[in-house]
Amino acid sequence: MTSRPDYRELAQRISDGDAIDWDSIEGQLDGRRSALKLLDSIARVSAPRNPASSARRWGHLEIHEAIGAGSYGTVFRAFDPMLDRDVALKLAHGDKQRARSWVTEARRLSKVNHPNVVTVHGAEVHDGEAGIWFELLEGVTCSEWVDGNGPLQLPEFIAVADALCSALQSVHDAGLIHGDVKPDNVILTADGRPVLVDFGSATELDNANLISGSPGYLAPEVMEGKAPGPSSDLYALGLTLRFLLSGKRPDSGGAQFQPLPGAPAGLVTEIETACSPDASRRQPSAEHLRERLQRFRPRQRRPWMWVLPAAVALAGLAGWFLRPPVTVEGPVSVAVLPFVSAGNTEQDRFFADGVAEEVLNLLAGSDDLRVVARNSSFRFRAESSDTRQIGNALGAEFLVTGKVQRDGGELRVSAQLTEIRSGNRLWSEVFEATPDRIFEIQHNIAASLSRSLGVDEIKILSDRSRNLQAWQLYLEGMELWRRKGEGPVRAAIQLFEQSLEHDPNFAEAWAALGEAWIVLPRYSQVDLDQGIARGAEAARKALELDSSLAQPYLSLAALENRRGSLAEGLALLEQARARGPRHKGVLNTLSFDYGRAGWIRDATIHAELGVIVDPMEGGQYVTLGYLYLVSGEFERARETFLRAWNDLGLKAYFLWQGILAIHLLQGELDQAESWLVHRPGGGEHDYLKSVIAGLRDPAERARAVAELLRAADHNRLPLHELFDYLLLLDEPELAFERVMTGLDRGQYFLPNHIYMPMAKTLRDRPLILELADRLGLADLWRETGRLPDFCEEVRVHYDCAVLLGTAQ
Amino acid sequence: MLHPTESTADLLMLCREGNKAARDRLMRRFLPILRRWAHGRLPHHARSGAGTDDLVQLTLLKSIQHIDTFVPEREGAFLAYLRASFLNQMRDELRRSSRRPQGNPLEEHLGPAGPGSPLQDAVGQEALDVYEEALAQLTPLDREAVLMRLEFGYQYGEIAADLGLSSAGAARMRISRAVARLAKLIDANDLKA
Repeated sequence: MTSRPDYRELAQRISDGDAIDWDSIEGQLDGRRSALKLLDSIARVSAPRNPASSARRWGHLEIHEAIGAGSYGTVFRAFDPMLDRDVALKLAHGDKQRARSWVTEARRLSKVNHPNVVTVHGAEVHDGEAGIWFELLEGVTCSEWVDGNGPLQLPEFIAVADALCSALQSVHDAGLIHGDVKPDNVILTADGRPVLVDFGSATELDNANLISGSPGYLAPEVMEGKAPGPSSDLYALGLTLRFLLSGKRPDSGGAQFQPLPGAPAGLVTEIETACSPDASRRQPSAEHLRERLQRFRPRQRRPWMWVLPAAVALAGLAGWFLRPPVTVEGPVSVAVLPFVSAGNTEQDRFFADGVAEEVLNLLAGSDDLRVVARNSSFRFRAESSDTRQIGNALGAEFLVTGKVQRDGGELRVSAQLTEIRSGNRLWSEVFEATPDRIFEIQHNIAASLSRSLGVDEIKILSDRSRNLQAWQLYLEGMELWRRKGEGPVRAAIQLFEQSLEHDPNFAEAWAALGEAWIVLPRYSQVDLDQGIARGAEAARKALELDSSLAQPYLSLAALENRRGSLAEGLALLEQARARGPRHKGVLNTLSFDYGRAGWIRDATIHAELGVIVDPMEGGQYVTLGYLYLVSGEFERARETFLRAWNDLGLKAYFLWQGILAIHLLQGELDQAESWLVHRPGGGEHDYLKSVIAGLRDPAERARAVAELLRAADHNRLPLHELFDYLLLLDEPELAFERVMTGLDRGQYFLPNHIYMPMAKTLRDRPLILELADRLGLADLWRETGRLPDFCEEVRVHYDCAVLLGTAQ
Repeated sequence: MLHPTESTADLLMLCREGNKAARDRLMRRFLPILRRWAHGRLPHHARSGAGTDDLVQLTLLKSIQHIDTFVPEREGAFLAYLRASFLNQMRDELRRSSRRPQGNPLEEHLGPAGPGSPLQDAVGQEALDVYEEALAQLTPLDREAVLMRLEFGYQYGEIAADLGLSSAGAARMRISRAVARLAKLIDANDLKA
C-alpha cells in the first residue's frame, strides 16, 4: 500500500506544480485531501502553462518536443511563461564543468545584437544541467534548402553571404569565435533572414584551446592543434559559401570547387581565398570578405523566393519602409532627376524635363523597380546637389541623370546611371538624332537602364511614339498644370486642347485634360459639377484610347464621389490601382478614401507606400500621420507629422492640428499649450486654452464646453474639430447632437473624425452608426459588404452587421 | 510580467491621472495574462479567440476605467480585482443571455445552452463555489499569493518581488502554507454545507 502523503507535502507539491498521482491515493482521500485535489485541478485548468502541467520543466521553462540534436546537446521547443513566448532551449550533454563553461560563453554571446545572429535570451545551469534558451526560428537550414532546391542563384547568394559575413564579424567583435560555422548552422527564416545559430562550440578568443566543430569544416591549423580563431571561422564560412554556390559539401568530392555556371571568376577567387589552407592567405576578417563580395552584387534584386509570396508583396513593401531589414530585398529603387537643358528657353527646359519624365514613366512600368515619383525627384537638380544627399533624401539606390541639347535640326541626349552608395557610374551613353526621334531615344535610354539595373527589359504598354508638336504642347501644359492656381490650370487646359488638335489619339493628353478640368473648380468660379463632368468626359476618351492608364480612373472616381456614390468611386479606384499600383495619385487617393471608409489597416498600407514612392510630398505624411493617430500609434504619428513639419518644412494646419491632438490624447497638456503658438497663420485659440484647462481640471469643463459652442456658433471652429474637442471633454451626446445639427444645416464635417481615438466612447454605442448613416458611410459599407475596422472592436457592445443589415 | 522599472501600481496611478499611454501599457501587460487565465473559465463554445478576447478586453477596460476608487498597491491585488471583475462580467453576460436568447454574438456564445467551462467540467460548479467562499476567507496577501501562483502561473520569484517577500523560497513557503489553509477551509465549508 502506498504511504499517504501528508497535507503539507501535498500542498507543497501543488504549489510547485509537481504531477501528483491522485489515482494511487484515491482510496485514502479524506475531506482535506479531497480539497487539495480540487485545488490541484483548479491550478491545472487555470494555468496550464504553469508547473502544474505535465510538461517537463527546466528552470522556469516548460519543455515541449525535441526539435534538433547535435554533439553538444538537444534542442527543444520550450515555453517561457515569464515572457509568454515560445523559445528554443538547448540542453547540454557532457560533464558539468564543460557545461558551466558553455553557459558562460553563451551569456557572453547574449550580448551580440545582430539580426543575423540568433538572439540568446538566457543561459543557466539547473541541477547540473546547462541550458541556453534563444529565439525560436521557424525556417530551414541552408543545408536543407540547397539539398532541396539546388545551389543559390547569384543575387540570393550575395545577400546570404553578405548577411553571414556581417554576422560573423559581429561575433568576432564581441570577442568570441563561433567554432562551428557550416550550412546546417544557418537557418533561413520564414521572413527571409539568414541566421547564424548553434554556438555550442563558441569560445572566447583568449580562451580558445579546445578542438571543436564539424570535421569537414575545421581549418587545417585547428586540426593540427592550434587554437581556433576568427581566421578558422572564416575558413568554415568560406566552405559554407562554396556549398551554397555549388551544392557540394567539402567532404563530397575533394577540394575541387565547381560553382554554378555564370558565377564571376573574381567571386570564386574570393571564396577560394577564404578557405585557403594557409591561414595567412585568407582575408583578414569577415568584414573584409563581405566588402570584397559586394563587388559582385548584381544590379537585380528580387524578393526572396522563400520570403515574400507575390500576394503579400504589397504589404511586405510597406513593412520594409517601417523596419528596414538587413536582408529582405525589395525592388531596386531608382530616382530619375530632371535632365539638364543646354538651351536657355523655357521650352527647352520643358522639353528636357519631358524627356526625363518619359524615361521615368517607362521605368515605372517595371515590377522590379521602385521609381521615385516625379513630384519628389524633380525637386532636385543634378548639377546643384550632391548625389549621395539626393539619394538619401529620396530613399533611392540609383540615380539617373542626363542632359538634352537641341540645336536646330539636331538633338543630343546624354544619360547616366549612378550607384549612390559607391558613387560609381554604371552606365552612360549619348544619343544623337533628329528631334522627331526623341521617342525612340527615350525607349533606348529606358531599355539600357533596365539592362544595367539587371531587371527584365521594360515593357512598352502602349505605342508611346507620337506627334512631336503635340507632345511639346502637352509638356508645356503639364508644367503649367503643376503650378496650380486658376490662371495656370486654365492655360494648361488650352495647351492640352491644342495638343489634341495635333494628335487626337494622344491618350495621356486626354487624361491630363480630364484631371485639369476636375481641379479647376478649386481655384475658380467654375461650377464643380461642370468641371467634374467635363473632366470625366475627357477621362473616358483617354481610356478608350489607352485602357492601361491609371489617371483617368481617378478622375472618374472623383465624379462618382461627387455624386455621393462612394462605393462606385472605390470600385473605380480599384481599377486605377490595378493599372498603377505605385502611381502616387492612386496611393494618395486610396489611402484617403479607405481611411474615410474606416478601413484603416488598408489605408495605412497605401499611405506608407505613398510616402515611399513620393517621399518629398508633405501631404502624404499628413494622411499617414492621421492614420497612425487613428490606430492609436501615437509615437509613430508624431514622428510622421514632425518629419513633414520639420524636415519638409510643411507648416500646414492639418499637421499642426494632428500634433496638437497627440498632445491632448496623451495628456501632455503643457506641451499642448506651448504648441498653440505654432498654429499656422496665427489666429485665435482661446477655446483651445479652455479645452486644455478643462482637461486639467474637471471643474473647468463646463466653461470649456460653453466656449467651444460659442466658437462654433460664430463659425470660428469647424464641425469636426468641435466634435473632437467635445469628445475629449467627455461630452459624447453633445458632440453627436451638434454634428447632426450642423450637418442638417449643411456644414462640412470630415468623416474621418469618427474614427479618431477620442470618438471611442461614441463608437462604443450604436449611435455612431446613425452618424455614419448621415455621412453616407453606412451606404458604402452596405454596398461593398465591408464593415469599418472599428466594428471588430465594438462587437461586445453591439453588432454592426446586424444593425446595418449586412449580416448574412 | 513584472516590469523592472515600472510597477503595476505606478501604471495604475498614471492611468488614474488620465495617462492613456500608461493605460495602453497596462492593457498590453495584462491582456495575455488574463486571456490565458480566462480560457479555462469560459464555456467551451465561447472559448474561440474572439469570445475570450471580447470579455477579457472589456473587463480590463472597465477595470482600468474604474480605478478611481481603488488603486491596488500590488500586482497580485490588481490580478485579484481583475479576476473578480471578469467573473462578475461573465455572470452578467450569462444572466442577460438567459433573459434574451437572441442577442449579439457574444451573448450567444455565452448562452446557457451547451457544456460548461473546462473548470466546471473538471471540478463542478458546486466545488467552485466552495472554493470561492474559502478563498474569500484567506488574508488578502495569502489570497493574492495563491491566485498568482495557482491560477495565474506566476513564478515564486515574481510573487516574492510583488508581495515584498525576501526570496522566492519565502514565497514558496508562504504559498504552500496558504494552500494547506485553503484546503482546510474548503473542507470545513464543505462539512457545513
